[in-house]
Amino acid sequence: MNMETEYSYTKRNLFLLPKEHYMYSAFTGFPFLESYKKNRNNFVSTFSNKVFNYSQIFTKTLLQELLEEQAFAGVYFEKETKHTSLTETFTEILNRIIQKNDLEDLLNNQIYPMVKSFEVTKRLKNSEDELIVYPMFANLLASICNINFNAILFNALLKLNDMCISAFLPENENSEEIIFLTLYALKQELKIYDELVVRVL
Amino acid sequence: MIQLDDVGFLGIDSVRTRAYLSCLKKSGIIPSAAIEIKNERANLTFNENKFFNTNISFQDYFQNEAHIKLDTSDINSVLVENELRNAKQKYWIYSGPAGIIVKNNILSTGKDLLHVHPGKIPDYRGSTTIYYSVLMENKIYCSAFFLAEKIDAGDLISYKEFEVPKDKENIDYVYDPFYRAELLVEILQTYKKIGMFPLYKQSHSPCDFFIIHPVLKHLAILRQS
Repeated sequence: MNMETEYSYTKRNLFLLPKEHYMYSAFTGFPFLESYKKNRNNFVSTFSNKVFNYSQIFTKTLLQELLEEQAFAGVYFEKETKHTSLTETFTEILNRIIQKNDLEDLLNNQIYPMVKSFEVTKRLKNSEDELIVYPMFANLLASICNINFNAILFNALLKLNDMCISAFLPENENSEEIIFLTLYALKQELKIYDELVVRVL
Repeated sequence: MIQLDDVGFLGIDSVRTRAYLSCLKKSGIIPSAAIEIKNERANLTFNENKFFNTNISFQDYFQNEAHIKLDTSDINSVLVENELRNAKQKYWIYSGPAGIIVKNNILSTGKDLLHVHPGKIPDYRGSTTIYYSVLMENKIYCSAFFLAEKIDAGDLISYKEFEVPKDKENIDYVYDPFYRAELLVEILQTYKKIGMFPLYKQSHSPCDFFIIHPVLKHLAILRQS
């Protein structure tokens, strides 16, 4: 695979400057999409054995999907010990998603403003440099996209997951929670991507 | 050529500007003034295409006395602000740098900046919306409106649906500027005919689109009709 078709958006740590703005990205055809999937699957295969509970994600049947799976992810949200205002907000939002409690209101008043802030600054406000808020937010967006596909949210999800992947190094000590949430967000991203591919290609 | 005494042209030298100038020239319309700011991208090259002439520049289109080139690349510069304030033209075709928000000092000069956006508003506000509407609906629209403080929220003048091309990989540098130019020409022809821009209030949209991720851009370009 040559450089032009390679998925290069996780090659450098996107938490460092310069920020990645994805402006005027080049079109290189199907090989680029194959490279993107390889990028995600490589991460999953590299890190999946580092998470104790990871095998449970794939043993669940399709019938147990959304609610149970979101609740499963929610356990990890609540396990997070260093609670900040942002992680608390995320936990509240997740509960609303699980209960499907007025999703339109949730989108308009909480999710869209956070997406806008992330897209403009490429950072999450008040995140205090905590990596965990990024996969948390990615999981929230993915959970909503799993209910109703939303291009604005899926666009931000792809960028959040790029950031998360770009920050991991296999030789580093990474917390199990962060790895789990990133793997979980990636699993959801790939599912939404595959469904979109069936719709448009 | 029909000169529009109340209309000027504000922009940088870019493929969009060249599409605008080429299509305006072809339609026999010429704005009565031009303010050009510098494009800081080195080695500007414009590939030829069959829809518009990419060799046309500000100098080729406007007479010397009608064309001012400012020593700034900042669309929000006080130099631009002063030129606009002193200009006699009320309406200014806007073809500024991509991704830069026009600030209030420019919007409050008493001049109306006419922008053509590659998306149907209010459904597709924000950036790279041409790809989003192809991805979601397999459709392409352009909308024309006067710039307002809030992004893509100004009063709508007109919108139009365009054919989705087969060679969608040429959207950025051919179809996006060409379709915008086509709508611009239609609007100015109407303006010439009726002497006004009909305006329609936009309805509310809860969220803007942001620069499309390369994966979604590829899906949009590869999308089957």
